[in-house]
Amino acid sequence: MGWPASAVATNDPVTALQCNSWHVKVAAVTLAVDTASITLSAIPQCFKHIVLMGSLRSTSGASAVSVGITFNAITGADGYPAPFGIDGTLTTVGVATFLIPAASAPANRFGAFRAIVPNYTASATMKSMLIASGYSSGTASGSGSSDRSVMWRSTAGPVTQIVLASAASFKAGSTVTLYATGAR
Amino acid sequence: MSWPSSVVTTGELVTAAQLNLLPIRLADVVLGAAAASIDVTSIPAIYSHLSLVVTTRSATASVDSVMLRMNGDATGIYYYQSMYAKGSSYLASEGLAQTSMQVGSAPGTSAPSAAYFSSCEIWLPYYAGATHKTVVSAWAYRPSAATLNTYVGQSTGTWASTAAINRLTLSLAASNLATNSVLSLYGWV
Repeated sequence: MGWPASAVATNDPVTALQCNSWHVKVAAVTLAVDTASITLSAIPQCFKHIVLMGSLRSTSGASAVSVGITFNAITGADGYPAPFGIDGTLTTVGVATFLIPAASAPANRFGAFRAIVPNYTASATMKSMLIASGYSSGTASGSGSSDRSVMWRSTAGPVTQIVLASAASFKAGSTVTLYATGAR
Repeated sequence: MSWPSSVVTTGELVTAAQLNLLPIRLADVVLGAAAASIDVTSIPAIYSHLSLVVTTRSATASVDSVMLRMNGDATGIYYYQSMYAKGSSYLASEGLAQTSMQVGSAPGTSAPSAAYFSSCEIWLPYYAGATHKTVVSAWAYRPSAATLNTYVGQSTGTWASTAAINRLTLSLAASNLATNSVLSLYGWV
């Protein structure tokens, strides 16, 4: 059959090649208790791109704090954040990527984010991450929305592990899901 | 087989558990006539996240804001922030204690033809959880053929409710959605 160039019809067999074009969930974490970081490890290397989606809140005493993302546990000066097309600054431990509500925000407020890492298995090129995020940390003001690009300035091989961390811990109920798309 | 830890190979059977890892379209609406809103009800709670792909146009206004409401809740517990750029200008706005949240903008009667529509993608993480629901949207539209009229924007909105989202209502702030406005809803396991 011609799917996905045409619709699947009754009794059409779906081939392995067609299955390998699917988006698929490969990992999910939902915190039952406050936790310092969220680690997605042993990321399968058979896909083309990966997508992260989640909902986060910090236990820090501030109204909002930044989330840092580290690839492959490498914490050198490899991150280069660029918010909304404006050059950022070099960071030394992970990458400060987006803001989430924290303990001073109204109860139950969690921030939302979605991030894409195209061609995450490349070993000859640096990896970039595109992040769209938003949060609300108050009732009189304090909503924020950001669109950020991050470059991991390393050719040290494919992304096999992603760690998210913030000041203090992530609040119980925080959740992150990792999806992959299209076999290589 | 071990997919998705490895690729699917010919002859392998895909199990129900593996099929349940796939995102899927839950609803698809194309307006056959102008309408006040597109309403998607009875959204199942079995997924982790939702996303919407939306294309809209106003039937009567020159331009209008695209708004989203959860569970039919019209109380003032929506908070949103929008930012957008056109030409070399960058603008931002917020809404506090509103009855719906802005997720985009749409062209209308000032556009050169009825073929001008906006595009918008909306992400709703953890929509069935017990936390307040925050969504992120990215959008773009062109309401006029004149220069400085290509808009690109992003919005975030919070519905300050701990209820699971089971209904989404898309509308414009002050006018009707035009014929051929589209909403597709996806569930992400």
